[in-house]
Amino acid sequence: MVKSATILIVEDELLLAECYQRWLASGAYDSQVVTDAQSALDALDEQRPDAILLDMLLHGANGMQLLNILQSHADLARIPVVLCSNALSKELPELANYGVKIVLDKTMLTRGKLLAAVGEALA
Amino acid sequence: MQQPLGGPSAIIAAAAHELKTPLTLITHISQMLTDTQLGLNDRERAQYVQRLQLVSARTLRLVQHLTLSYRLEDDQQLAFTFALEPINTREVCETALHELTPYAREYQQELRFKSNARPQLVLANRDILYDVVVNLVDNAIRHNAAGEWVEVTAATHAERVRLNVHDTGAGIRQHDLNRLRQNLGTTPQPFSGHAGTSGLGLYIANQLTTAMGGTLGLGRAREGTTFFVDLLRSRQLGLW
Repeated sequence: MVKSATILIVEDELLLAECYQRWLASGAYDSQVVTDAQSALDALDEQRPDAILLDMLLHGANGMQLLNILQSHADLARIPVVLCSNALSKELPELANYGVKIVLDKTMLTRGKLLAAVGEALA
Repeated sequence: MQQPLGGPSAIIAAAAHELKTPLTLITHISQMLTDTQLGLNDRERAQYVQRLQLVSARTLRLVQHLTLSYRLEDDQQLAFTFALEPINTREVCETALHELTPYAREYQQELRFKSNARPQLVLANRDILYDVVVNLVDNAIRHNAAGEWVEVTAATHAERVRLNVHDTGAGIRQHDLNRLRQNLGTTPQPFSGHAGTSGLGLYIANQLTTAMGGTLGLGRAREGTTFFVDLLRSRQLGLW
């Protein structure tokens, strides 16, 4: 049996995180939700996901700070990141250098767009 | 009424930021309800409909508060037209917490109220005080994590009654705390990176509190964050 890919969802809005989890499950992805950067690092110590779905604005350390930390660890830096943001992409710094494969506009997100982005990030 | 630092554009920017998250949620939940491929059962569907109602109600509340905020800024005399009367803080706080309990449950949080057995009467406008409490508790829910709680307490201090709204969240960093204390209520100012929190709720809560002759402040808490509202105590005897 083929093991489904696991996605770590880092999103502090619980109700949004649950939407993403549902949408990912419909694409046969397993997922785990954490709500802040520290919990994400703890989860990464426990289990290595195949990709990270990361919200930019978080309680405490934000998405950018988490990306910086991920980049400072060779093993974590290899995990592809799909960034979800309410901010306009032009406001975001150059993200490809931080392991970000795709930036999604949270306000315009659909199940189809999320599954396509995750599929592309994992390819 | 004091104009916000940064002018009306600061309010518009904060409002746009604050509305994005609930509107995004409404859009996403609506998509889920109409998506046949998700295979939602009746119980799940009912739960999402309730969630939709709660998030919509919160969005509407925010818009109503924005309208009131605008009116207070636009009409310097408006604050004086609020009828101030002896109000039982317990009754207002319990009603507000009752209203917000289903919303807090969605975020796996508990709301509590603590007060002396005797009613604490303040000179206030019931509707405006209710809006202030709702605003502060909503703000506290937004800054808490799942499993945490928000507590509202009422205590009498000489001629004032102080309502404290305490959350058990991560608290505010010292640097942000100083900035917030200095500028509290003069402009929307976020104090965490959390999506949908622009500080607008606090700005409006301060406006409404001031309109009733009260004071909004930032308390000192060992953990989490406490905001307080000081209102003039009413000495009128109630029938409670």
